[in-house]
Amino acid sequence: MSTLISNEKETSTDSSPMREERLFLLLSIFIGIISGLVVVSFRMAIEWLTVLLQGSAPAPHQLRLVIVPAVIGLALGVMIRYVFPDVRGSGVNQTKAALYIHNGYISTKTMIGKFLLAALSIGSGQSLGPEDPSLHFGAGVASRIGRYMGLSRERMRLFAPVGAAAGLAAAFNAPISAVLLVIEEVIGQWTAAILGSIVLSAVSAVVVARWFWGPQPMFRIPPVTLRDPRELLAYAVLGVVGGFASLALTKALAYLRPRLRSQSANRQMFMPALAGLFVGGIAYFGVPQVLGVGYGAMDAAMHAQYTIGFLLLLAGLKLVASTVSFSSGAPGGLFATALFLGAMLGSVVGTVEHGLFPSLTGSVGSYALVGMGVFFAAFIRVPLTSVFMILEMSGNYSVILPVILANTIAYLISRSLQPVPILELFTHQDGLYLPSMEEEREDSQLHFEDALKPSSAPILPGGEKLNELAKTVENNSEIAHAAAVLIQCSDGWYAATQTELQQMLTNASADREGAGAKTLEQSVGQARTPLLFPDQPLANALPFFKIWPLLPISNRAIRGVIEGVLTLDDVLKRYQRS
Amino acid sequence: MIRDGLKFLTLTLVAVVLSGVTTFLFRSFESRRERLAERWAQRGHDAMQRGQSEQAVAALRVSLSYHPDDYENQLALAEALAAGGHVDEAENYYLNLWQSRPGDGPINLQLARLERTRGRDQQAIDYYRAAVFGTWAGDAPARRRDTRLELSRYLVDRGQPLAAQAELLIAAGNNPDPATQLRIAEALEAAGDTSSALTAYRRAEVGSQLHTAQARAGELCFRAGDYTCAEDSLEKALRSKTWTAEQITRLNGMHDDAARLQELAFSPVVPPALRSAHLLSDSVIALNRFKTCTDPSLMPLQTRWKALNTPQNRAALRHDDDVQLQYANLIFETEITAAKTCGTPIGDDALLLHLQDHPMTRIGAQQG
Repeated sequence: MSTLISNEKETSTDSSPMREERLFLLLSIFIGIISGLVVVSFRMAIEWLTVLLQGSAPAPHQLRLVIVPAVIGLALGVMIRYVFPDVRGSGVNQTKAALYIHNGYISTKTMIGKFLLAALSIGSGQSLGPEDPSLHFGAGVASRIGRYMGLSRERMRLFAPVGAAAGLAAAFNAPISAVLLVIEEVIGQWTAAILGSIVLSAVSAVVVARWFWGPQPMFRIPPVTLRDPRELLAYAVLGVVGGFASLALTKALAYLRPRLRSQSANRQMFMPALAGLFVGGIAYFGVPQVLGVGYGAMDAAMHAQYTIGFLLLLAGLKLVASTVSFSSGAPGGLFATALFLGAMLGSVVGTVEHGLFPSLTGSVGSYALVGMGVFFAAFIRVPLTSVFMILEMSGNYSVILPVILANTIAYLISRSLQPVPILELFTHQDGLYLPSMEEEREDSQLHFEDALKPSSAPILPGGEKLNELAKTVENNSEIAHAAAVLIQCSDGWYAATQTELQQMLTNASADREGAGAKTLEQSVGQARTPLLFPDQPLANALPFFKIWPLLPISNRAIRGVIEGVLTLDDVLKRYQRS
Repeated sequence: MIRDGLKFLTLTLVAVVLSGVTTFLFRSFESRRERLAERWAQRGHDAMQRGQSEQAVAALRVSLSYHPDDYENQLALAEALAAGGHVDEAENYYLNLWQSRPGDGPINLQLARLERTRGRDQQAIDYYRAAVFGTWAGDAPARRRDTRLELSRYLVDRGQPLAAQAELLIAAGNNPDPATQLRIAEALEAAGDTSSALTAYRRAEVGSQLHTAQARAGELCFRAGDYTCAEDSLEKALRSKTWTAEQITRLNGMHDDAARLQELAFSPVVPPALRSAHLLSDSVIALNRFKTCTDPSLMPLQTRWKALNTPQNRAALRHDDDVQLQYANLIFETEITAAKTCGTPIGDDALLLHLQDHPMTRIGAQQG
């Protein structure tokens, strides 16, 4: 146990790949279970602290709503400055930094600090959410377990997303969304090597979370229906509104965060207190719904319990409050804020559209639900995750079309007006340049077919005797001047350089060791060019050019038929062109 | 291999310890949450009883934040919102509840009431009907019947008495208790179905409702012009010792009027000989009123009274409807003109005017 909680950074070097392969899946389950338990404890800690610090019924004109966030904010500032300097912010970028910079290492001290300070921050009323820190906890648990098991650096790097998926899955109570978000936002690309482990850990974490909370999400989901396809137009309007609204939050964060971060360390220490005072002030003067995560308000908005005016007020104040809280450096995430704003705007759009077109069958709640996905897709820039998140939350596939349509519109608007995604912007503000997940997702990998050229190299039958070949070459200047030739052997292809061919013909003419009577196939020996197909990655070709002057690319359906050939020059030219 | 096994064992122990801590945290907060939900719900209900709807709304909201799916508190919050004048919010709240429970009786009833206050007649009626056929906890038949009664009253208010009668007849057909029969009878009377109302009153004449039902039946008969029924019912009702002095005076007066009206009435149900006699005695009353009222506006009537020549018409009066009608018209016109010029009549003159107000007492009228 003492070994488990020690803060060792170096991983053991005696781990064999076979052993790690064996342990990997089993450890993924453990990571899922322990991450799930940590996340449930974290949520319970937030719930307890919320009741203890804000009282059981926060209402306007309660002085504690101003005092508590300010005082706790001061404590947070001091702790962040002197004890846990790595716990500020959401945790998503810290997880990515751990993956890409620190070989999957997240210190136990950071995890403990994040747990305590994020719970205090959110519980005291800072307008932030618990999902992003949960992702960080999961990655931290994975890192701790990986170190304890003495895994190699390569495996440790793979473990970070496995843990992140587990933490997020437990926080959202939705395994598929968590897996997708980690792929979209942390890894950037589908990687079959760890997909199984990510799924396994996410499912394990959700099983643990559901043991406590049951299958339902954090708020009650209204019944969702789409009876008339024409209603998709109404959801498209929601996509437009969500796209522009997400820009407002992005711009606000992009403006305020660097300004507060550029303050001196001493001044930064007081920022969470000032943010607490600001958020508490909003609560004191009439809108306590902006405090903390805001699941209650989301639930109310989804069940059409607010008027349009109040929904807009809530959305505006939450946007400002979350911007201030997050920019101050108080630990906590923005995923919940995105969902909150999406629910409010969705509810507004739904109510307005119902007023204008009473025949719409989709409830206001269904607009709020779709709005959550819309804002999430546009703000975090994870379109696929947001679709599955809403599907998992609602458990209703009839919502898929509105969600896809509205999310796509919002995503495209956000992307065209804000080229750099918000999480990437944060890393730039922090002086880090982590890979852009959005670009990585969209990077198109080149394949052989992209550099393939029709074969101009002469093809020589492998069964031809060298004596006969010499005559053929004499009569055919094309063969004599080709840089390389392809020899069709009975068991594959052989690519020979002109020099190699001439050497064989010279040997044959001198009839050394009866070379003239040998066939071409017998002369070239056992080696054959590798069997390659057009859909394979272009980069895979590079090592082969050390041996072969050109590579024949075969047809997958008809063995022996060549679709074209690759030369080193062609490959390099193709890369330069892309 | 052994080292890995030991490490997994350690991880398992860590998971077990962590699950213990998590379970403790979870259970402690869940029980705390339950207590808070109950405490705030109680405060909300207490505030509602005191009529402090704003406090009730705040308390019930807090309660529901700890236990969102509590149906009773959801309904109570919606009621508190409506009572506090937050009609939009209340409607939203009810509509939202309705979406998850479209067949719920209480929710449909409350929505019907809200639509009613907003003047949306058809929506209100639709919700009322949904409430009637909806699911109810507890005594469902009684709740459905109450809803029907409320619907029928609304239909009467909206000028749809026939629809109201249909609802009430269904309610009356479900063998309700006497108190409910009494309410149904009153509603039927309001809907204009006198005959069914009287039947319902008769059914209610049991147990504690006996004398009330008799009195109401008597009043109904009186208003309907059936003075025999009125006298009989009122006489029975007056046997009760539970009436207040004021009620006794009123019922006695009506009873005496009913008795006297039987002697004055000349409706088609009265046998011809008796009708003729009544017309003759009524004409004497009207003539006396004519003589005591010396206003010039009555002069044209004098000629008509003279032209009647009663001794000569006595035989025709027994058999000839036209002659009877002539007498009846003259009696009524005299009483009406005298009432206009010489003041409100009393006694038999007033009763004759009462007869004039009841079309059923007229000659040739259809009996309902």
